[in-house]
Amino acid sequence: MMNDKLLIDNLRSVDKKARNSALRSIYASNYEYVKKFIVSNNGSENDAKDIFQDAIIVMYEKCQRKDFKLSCALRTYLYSISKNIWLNRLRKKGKYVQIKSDYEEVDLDSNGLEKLEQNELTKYYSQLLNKVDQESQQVLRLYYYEKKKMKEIAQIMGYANEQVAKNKKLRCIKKLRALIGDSQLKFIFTS
Amino acid sequence: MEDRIKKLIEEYIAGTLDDGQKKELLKLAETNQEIMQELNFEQHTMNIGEHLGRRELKMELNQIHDELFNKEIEIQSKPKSLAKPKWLGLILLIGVIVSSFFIFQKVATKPTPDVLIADYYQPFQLEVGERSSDENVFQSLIDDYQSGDYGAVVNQYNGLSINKESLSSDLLFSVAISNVEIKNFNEALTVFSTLDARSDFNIQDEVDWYKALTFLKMDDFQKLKSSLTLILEDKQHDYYQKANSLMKKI
Repeated sequence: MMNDKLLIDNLRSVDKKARNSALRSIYASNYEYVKKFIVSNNGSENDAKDIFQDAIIVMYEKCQRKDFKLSCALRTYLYSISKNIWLNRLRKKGKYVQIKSDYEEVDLDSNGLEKLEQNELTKYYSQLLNKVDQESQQVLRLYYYEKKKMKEIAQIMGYANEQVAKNKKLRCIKKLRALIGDSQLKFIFTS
Repeated sequence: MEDRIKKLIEEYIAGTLDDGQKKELLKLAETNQEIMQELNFEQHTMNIGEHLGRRELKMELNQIHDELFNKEIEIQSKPKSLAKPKWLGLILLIGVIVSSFFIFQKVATKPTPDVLIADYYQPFQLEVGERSSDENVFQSLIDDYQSGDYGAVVNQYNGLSINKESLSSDLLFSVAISNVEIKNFNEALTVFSTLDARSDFNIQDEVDWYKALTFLKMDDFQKLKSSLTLILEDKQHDYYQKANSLMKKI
């Protein structure tokens, strides 16, 4: 079994197999703990699956940041994220429950969780993306989500060099700009 | 829009700006519609990237879940390989002979660089929009370019006392083309490199294509081929067809 540091390193890897293997290992060794917590706190098995996967997504995003350092065991970290997400869901549903927890937890900054919950725009983006080819979507995902450099994107996508990756990204952005156009969906920016 | 502002916007969206810079940018955006639009667009783009990432990761996790806990994965049997017909060798042989004939014809009728330049090269038509702030300042540079006085464009550019990086990509591109026209190829390539580093999607395809044509004019076929290969990696490139056609002729 891989140790926590190796798992995190593999989650950041450009090697798809190494990344998938790390996800599989994390899933296999932690799911039952989270499921037990969710099911014993008003949730179903489906809730457990959903919450656990969202927790992995939050953890995955944190891992991609250069300044991320795991300050506790990976299991404790995942369990704490899962618990927070589940509590948020229950609050949104207007349910109050006395939480029963058998495991150690850590305090988390909740930015990642809130971001994950902001899905009002999801439908709009799904519609936009129907008009963008798969290859461009991959390049956008690698750049904005996986935070990969152009050189790494070229390596992952099998391009001759990073200039090709750069061009693909530019073309995709050009298309998105045309599609978004004068979208009525405006953001409020704050300092 | 100035490169500095573009960079500030990118960094704001990426969350790497300090508080002072954030305030500066948002103050500018309050009074400048173009900056506000750019901010809005960059935010949408970042969100779309995240949306894609989460969607794909969720699918991957669902698959892992199914494999670990639930369903048996259907393993599709590979289609059986077809038996090779006996006459396949003959067809291959005929194919080799026919293609050799065409390759020979192509080599025998290979056009000269001058013919290729005449076929493929045209000076870029500079379309000046209303967006950029510096067009008025450099009106005489634009006029010279549009009237085909490329030497004057280069002289004006070289004589500018301002930071040349602050010129809009369109203007910079016209300077690169002017250098090509008066055969200052190395200077042209330097300006193309500056534009490459800028990654301005409005003009990147033109930069790729005209850089390739610069190598054609320099008779540097090795670099011409690698520039064309770069364009041909992307079927959606604006100059894909032209690059493809030129590649076949060299």
